[in-house]
Amino acid sequence: MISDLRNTSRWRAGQIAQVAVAPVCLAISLYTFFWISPGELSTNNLEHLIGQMAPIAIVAIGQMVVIITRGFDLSVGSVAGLSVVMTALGINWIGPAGMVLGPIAGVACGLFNGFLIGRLHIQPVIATLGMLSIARGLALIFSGDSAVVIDGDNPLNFLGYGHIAGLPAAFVLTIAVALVVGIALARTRGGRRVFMLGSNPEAAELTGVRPASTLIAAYAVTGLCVGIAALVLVGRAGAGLPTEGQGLELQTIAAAVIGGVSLTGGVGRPGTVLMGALFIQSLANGLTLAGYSPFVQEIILGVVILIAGLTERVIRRVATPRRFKEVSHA
Amino acid sequence: MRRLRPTAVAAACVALMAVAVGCGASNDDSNSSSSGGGKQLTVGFSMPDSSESFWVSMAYGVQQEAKKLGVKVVKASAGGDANANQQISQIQDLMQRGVDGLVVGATDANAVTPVVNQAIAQGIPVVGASSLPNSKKLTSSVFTDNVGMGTIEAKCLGNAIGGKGSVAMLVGPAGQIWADLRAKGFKDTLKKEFPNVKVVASTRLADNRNAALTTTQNWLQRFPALNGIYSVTDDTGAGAVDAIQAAHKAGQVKVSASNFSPAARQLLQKGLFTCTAAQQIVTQGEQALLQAVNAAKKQPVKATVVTPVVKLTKQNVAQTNLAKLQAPAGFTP
Amino acid sequence: MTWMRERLDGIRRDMPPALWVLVVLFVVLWIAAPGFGTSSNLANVGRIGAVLALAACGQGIVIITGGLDLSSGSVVAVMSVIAVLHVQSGVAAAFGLAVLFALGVGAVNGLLVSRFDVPPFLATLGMLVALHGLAGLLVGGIPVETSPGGAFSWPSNGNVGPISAPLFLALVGILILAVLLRRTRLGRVWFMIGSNPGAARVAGLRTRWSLFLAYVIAAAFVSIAGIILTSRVHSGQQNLQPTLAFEAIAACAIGGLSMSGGVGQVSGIVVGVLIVAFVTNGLTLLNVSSDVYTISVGVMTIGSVLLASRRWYWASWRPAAPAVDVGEAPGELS
Repeated sequence: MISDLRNTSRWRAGQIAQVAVAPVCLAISLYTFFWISPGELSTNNLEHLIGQMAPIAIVAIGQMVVIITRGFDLSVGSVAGLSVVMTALGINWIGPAGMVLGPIAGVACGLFNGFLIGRLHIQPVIATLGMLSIARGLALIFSGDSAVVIDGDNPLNFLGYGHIAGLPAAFVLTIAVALVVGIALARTRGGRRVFMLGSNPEAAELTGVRPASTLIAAYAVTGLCVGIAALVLVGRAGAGLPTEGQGLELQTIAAAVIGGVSLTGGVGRPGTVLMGALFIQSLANGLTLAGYSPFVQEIILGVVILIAGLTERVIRRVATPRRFKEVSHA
Repeated sequence: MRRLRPTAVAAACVALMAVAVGCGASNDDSNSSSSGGGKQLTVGFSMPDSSESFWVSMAYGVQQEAKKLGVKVVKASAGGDANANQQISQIQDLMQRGVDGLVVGATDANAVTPVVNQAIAQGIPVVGASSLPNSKKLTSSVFTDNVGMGTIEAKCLGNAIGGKGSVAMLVGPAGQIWADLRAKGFKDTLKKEFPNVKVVASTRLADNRNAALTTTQNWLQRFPALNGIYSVTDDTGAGAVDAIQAAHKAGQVKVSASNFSPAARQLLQKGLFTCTAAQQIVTQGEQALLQAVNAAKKQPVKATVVTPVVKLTKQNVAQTNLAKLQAPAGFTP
Repeated sequence: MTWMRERLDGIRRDMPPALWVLVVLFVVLWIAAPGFGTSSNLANVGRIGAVLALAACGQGIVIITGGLDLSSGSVVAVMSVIAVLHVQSGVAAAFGLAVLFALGVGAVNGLLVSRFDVPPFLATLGMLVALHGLAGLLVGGIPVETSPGGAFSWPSNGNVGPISAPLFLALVGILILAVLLRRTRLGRVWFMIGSNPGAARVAGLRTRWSLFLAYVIAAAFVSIAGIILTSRVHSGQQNLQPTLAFEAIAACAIGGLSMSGGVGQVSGIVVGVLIVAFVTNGLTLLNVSSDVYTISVGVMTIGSVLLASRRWYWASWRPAAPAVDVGEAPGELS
């Protein structure tokens, strides 16, 4: 029956259309800025852009993983703040090897989130909202309310500004993370469990998927992504700012949604999420340099989120053959 | 296999982009134009938040001076005092655009230092405006004495409450050096000149008017004998004033503030602020742009420009020339 | 003795589980926090908590239908700008326009969710961001001022008899919500939409229309909260209370509303709001540092939800059915 559903050309068209949202948005935004300020869109600018999007893109990949499980993580911004502080502190205490403290902090927060959500059955909204406050408070306490500057040379500077084979190092890292997560999701058993949990939790449980451990793992992956993004952030700033990451949660959820990840779970592709992230970054930069006020940027971003939500549903509707049309959820 | 197709499409797009970028990375100078002969200069102005009256006034100063000198200004706002990463990206973009000079008001002094140093290394002069990047190679630093502002607040508040009593502090957003410096000035002056005035409470969380209002209301419950409130900006001070009035304690609790926006003017005139410490923000903007242009034209540059701090009270606000302190009403950067 | 046990069971089942948390919290703060128990402090909490109560009422409606409304923070911001910009035309007109705007936003939210099936999280997230930008655009980012006093300040500083105006408005709102949820058909449909939308539609209920109304009525509650806030600061601010929606969600969750919909009672919302209000008030009275405050808020939120969740708290009694006011909602049968 399901194969019936998937074999229709409508379904395939719907799949492609869903993937198309992000590239279309991206193309429109890049073209607009080229049109508004000629010379704006040189390959050099694009090179900068793909490096700059790294923090948003990497965290958006992590966000994608938990959105697939029908959850989301509102704490990523604060955990980013905690991670950058721990990264900087680690480097100052131990030397370059200390930078792992950042990702470790991220994973720890992710595990805690997963525990709250998976074991104690607290809804993701509340659990991650609570974590948002806790992580930010911890970041402020550990940093003494001010930026933790790295003494001496910044071992992560390469990640912030360096290049590998002509591409920004941060971009290469982003691709690496996207590849690893994408392959893990698509090819490993754990990844399949994540998808199953998102598309049909009851069925998943019946087939032996343990929701608690899968959720804990999913949120831990998000935390790890935040920790990795923290490395890039410290690479760029040369310091760990406890106030880092404010607004990151909404940006990354928006990037994931624009990138075709469905909030009802079970669907997600890293490739288009990257495009969604790039789109958001290009919005922020392009509009600013073209002279639009930051307020107009926000309005446009808000409208794009709405459009992404609309398109997803419309595509779903159109792509489902009549006999499979379910009574849609309110 | 069919499921791979959308992924393949996406992968192809990314690969194409990577190839395009990789090929293009070698021609660095394709976009950056150097200022030759009579070509109009372009200066980039990167500020933390164009929705704060402080930076609006700064932008006004920059714009006025730019008009006078016939220079083009490209503004970039990071959208928030904490958006250091965004500001780094924006400075990179301004560099990419080939600006002849940069004026930077830093979200975080340390975070923007690496990118500022890169700009300087590329030959773009960088002038720090008020919130200075921590770079040692800054072309010029234009600022005011934030510690002095805190000192002014301490003196006028301490005098207003008769030299003894308890005060609470609305310190302002965490991680912002201007807030830290003002608080330092306030506390140090209290210790030295008003040893009988104690700071009983302090918060870094109430950094908008509504939150300041709520916090002050709670403080008034906790400390019924509170004598004064220090506020780092006039916006937070206005919130404190509202709370004090709602509790009918306007005579008992005095409020001091910094910065001078339309709200501060009203409150000063009604006597609800004991004083506000103001700085010549517009002058700073003008000077910052001037130094940047001078550096771009290879003309002599002043390494440091410090604008004076002014104490504004109900008595002197009418006479003081406010043109250099704030942008005219209705100005939007 | 079983009749006593059944009686107690019944009472226990009707009370929101977070009530115990509230009682303990109240006692602890009374003892430990200086100035907590004074009538002036409690009146204060009433004034401040009223805003949250109204926002939580609106949020509660949306949560019961299985959705979320993230846009409240920006809605009140635009409301404040609109009201202050139009104060010349009279206070009633100014507030009226602001309320109309809020209702308009509610209508758009409702349309997106009910007619176009956009996930509520997304629709309201888009609104949150877009309206925040709109508020800034309208006002240039710098707050616009109006002078306090008179009719403009009544919603925040006035009194209705012995109680403050905000508290009065909140109580009226709570009553209206209670009637809506318990006694009207609309309320019953909301519960059904939340617990089993498919069955609701198949049963012939006008789910689309009811869902649309849910968002509009929720916006009405938020609009009153917005009026009180605007009146308090007599200024149009882009960042009036950006976290309003999240605080309301926390209050509802603590109060026992299920985030997947179909479950909830007004008393739960009230208890949740009181807990949040007392915690924030208490932390300031205890004069803890800002960092400890931030962490404590997070711990309290999670802790309260945990303590209030029936899962392990009621383990010793037989599992109580969630307090749904619908009689036998379709989703109950498992």
